[in-house]
Amino acid sequence: MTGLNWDQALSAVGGDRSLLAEVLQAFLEEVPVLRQRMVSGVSVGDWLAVAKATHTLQASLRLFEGQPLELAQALESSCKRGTSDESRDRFAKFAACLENVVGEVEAYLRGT
Amino acid sequence: MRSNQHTVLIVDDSAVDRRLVSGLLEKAGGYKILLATNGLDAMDVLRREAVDLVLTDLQMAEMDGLQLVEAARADFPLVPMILMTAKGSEEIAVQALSKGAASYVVKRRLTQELLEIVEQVLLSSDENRTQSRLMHRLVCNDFSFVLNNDLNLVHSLVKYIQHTLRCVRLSDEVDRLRVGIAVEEALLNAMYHGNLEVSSDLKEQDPNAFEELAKQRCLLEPYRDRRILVEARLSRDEARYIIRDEGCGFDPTTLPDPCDPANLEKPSGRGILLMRSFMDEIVFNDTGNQVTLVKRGTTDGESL
Repeated sequence: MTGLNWDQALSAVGGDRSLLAEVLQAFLEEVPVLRQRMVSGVSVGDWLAVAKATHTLQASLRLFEGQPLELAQALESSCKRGTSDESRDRFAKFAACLENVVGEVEAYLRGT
Repeated sequence: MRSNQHTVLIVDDSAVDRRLVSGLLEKAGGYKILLATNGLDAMDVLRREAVDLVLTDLQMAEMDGLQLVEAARADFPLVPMILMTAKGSEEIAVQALSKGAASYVVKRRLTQELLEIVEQVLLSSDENRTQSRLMHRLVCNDFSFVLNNDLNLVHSLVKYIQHTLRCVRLSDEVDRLRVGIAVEEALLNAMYHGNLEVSSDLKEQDPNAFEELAKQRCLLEPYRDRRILVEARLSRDEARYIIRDEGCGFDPTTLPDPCDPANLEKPSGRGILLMRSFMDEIVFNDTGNQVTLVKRGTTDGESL
């Protein structure tokens, strides 16, 4: 697990738990689409597409800050530079981290 | 304090940010929220709905925030736009601010700053809007100016004239531009040829010498004491401008025929050609130191 910073997430929505739940629900709906764009982009070396999808995902990860956001920013940077090997490596790390984030968010929503 | 509900359009390709921003505004109350996922989508909403404020992300597919600011400024100049900036979009944000965005809020600080910035921009915009509504009910406007031979003042007066034309809704945007150009040509003629007595022939031969002589004469008697007198009367039917200089005048019948294509490329008579093309009537007095420009209304005009 990534150990998401839930205090930070709550603070990012002004302390409103129901708004946080709505935002997280939007995140869960958005992730599969963006992840698919990233996977497709990586498979054909379309690093600009990967960078765009990663950039959009950062909106969600900004809620928690910490490692997931840093990995996303690093991936976007390397994709924009077009460095294939580095981007593939960073994508692998980010994709694994994203799975953990999704799992933790789902667990949080089940508990609310 | 806001006294009524405002409609805010949130433009962002991230569903999370759309939900977050709309949630923060809904929590504050007093806002009707509309959503768009990119600039093209946003322009469609702006055409359909009466939007008071746009909050836009910058990096989006289709039409990004910078393009949206430019397009919306052209078509919806009274709708202010606030940029929502994230890491990596600083450069485009600076460009968008220079293109007409009203303010910006950093996405990391949405909870701390969003409401205050939105309130601030809406308050200012409401004042502009009220002022604009009032000015659109203007039915007649008379004004007079006395200018010295200062090019900056000439340009400022032209801008003012275009603004007043917009208020009385006499003509469309293109015609307002053209009236501005015609009046500017008349003012420049009054300044250079009337008051400073610098000839078009010199401009044709040596433009630099023309400007240099004009600059010198701005400091010399009797030229420096001469003024440009401008009188204007605007109504919803007609705009009439009388521009007089204090020079020696000239014989208007000696002007080259502005309708002759052979004269198009000559600096001499260019101003008269533009005045005749853009205005409905131009009349010189007998001594040639006063010109009256008239533009008649082309739009139906909204009822008051």
